[in-house]
Amino acid sequence: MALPPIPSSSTPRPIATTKTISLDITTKTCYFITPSSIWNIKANSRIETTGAACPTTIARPRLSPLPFIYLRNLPYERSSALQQLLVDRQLRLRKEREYLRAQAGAAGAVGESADDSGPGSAGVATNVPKEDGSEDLVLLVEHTPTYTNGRRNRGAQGISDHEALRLQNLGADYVESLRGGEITFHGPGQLVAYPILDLKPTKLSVRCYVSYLEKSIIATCAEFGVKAITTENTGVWINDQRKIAAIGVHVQRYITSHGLALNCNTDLEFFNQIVACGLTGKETTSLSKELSDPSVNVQTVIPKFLKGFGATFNRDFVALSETRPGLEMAIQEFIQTGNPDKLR
Amino acid sequence: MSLSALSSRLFPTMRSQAMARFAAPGSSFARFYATKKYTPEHEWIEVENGVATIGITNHAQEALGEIVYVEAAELKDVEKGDTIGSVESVKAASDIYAPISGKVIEVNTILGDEPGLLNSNPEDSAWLCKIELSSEDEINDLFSEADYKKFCEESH
Repeated sequence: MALPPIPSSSTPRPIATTKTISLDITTKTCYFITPSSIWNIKANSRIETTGAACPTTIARPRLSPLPFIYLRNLPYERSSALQQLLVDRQLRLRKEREYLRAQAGAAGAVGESADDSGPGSAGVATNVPKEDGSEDLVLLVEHTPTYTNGRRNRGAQGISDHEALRLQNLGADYVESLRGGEITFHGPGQLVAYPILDLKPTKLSVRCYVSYLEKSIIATCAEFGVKAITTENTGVWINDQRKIAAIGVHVQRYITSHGLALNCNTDLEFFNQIVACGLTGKETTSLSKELSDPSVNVQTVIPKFLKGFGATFNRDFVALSETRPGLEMAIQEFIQTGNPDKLR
Repeated sequence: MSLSALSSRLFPTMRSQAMARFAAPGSSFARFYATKKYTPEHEWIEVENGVATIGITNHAQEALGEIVYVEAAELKDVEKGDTIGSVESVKAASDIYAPISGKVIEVNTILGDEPGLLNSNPEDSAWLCKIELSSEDEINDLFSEADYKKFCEESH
């Protein structure tokens, strides 16, 4: 399958190199000199004690444009299956590129380095595709009403059958997932974004990727004049009590799936039926509730979300139907019929 | 003339090097049998008597952030590259993969109650599981400590 044309990179921007030096050195020193028996990180708060500060921007060179596709009324299980097919596809294509690179490296001229963008070197080397995230994409989804639970609450550790039945009687499905996090609700009026990204070219760690997702949501809320924050609990909040967006990610060999859920004008009653994300005493809110404007729906929010996400991740968005019509058709076919063949 | 006397005359430096190796601090006889290797997925693997102990490196735990849940591997046969559990941090569940093929014979149960140990002691007491190797050859493809350090530096 031909790869999309790789856009020429724009003028390079300086990479942010400042770190919080004092915190970094202190924690690293503590790690090495303190005997493990008295080292006790029983941190209830999510502090950045275990590593360096996240980069303020994604390292150069700029990655390729990011295709997105909007899928409405999508049952959760089908979207999970779709995501796994897309992740497997990315892993397969990455392996092929690594193989091509190894071949080119063996056949190419002496002393060339595989990722150099120079036009010279052996003819074979110039055909080797770069690692610029050209197979990434983002699914923007509105689900049918579904309660979902994270990986650690599956099977024996999960909710009781009685509880699952109670939730189903409310008019929602209950599905267990392989993402991180606890129980939450997805449904109409909620923008769910599933970035299927290769983290390797971004050089973002898992921790920093989640932080970037939070920043994208904060940027989106800011477009509506809503001031959102992060707290010690993962996700995006209005204050310590009210949560506006939830996050739950699955990472397989640096390829991400699942993602985030931002309440636009979701029916928040569904959240009152559970202890959302396992956090007692907290509330769930939405953009329309914060703005007292029920017309703020998913369609209104999507353009702002693309802007916020694009700015945070330093990528341009394009419609999947424009850049990869074949892939878009394969996805639509899978959603309608459950037939995965075109995605394999 | 005895062989050792002859060799010490012909190869004086080799004998002194051999002596130095035994006497050097931090090196014990057991090291010749237990080798620690690394994978590009930031796992470490220490093999002793056909059993591999597996964990994630300090680099990995830093990249993940505060670990809140460790999903243990199932006790069964695995092929190199199969998923053997996962590690969860900041609402992200990251799959762990078997660096070699064999049978998972033991999982580290402390991590069930103290997942945070994986942040503080990733390369010793917070090992993830033990796998009985089906083939010793697979270890040869993995990184040595020096290669792994170089790999980490190159990817940043």
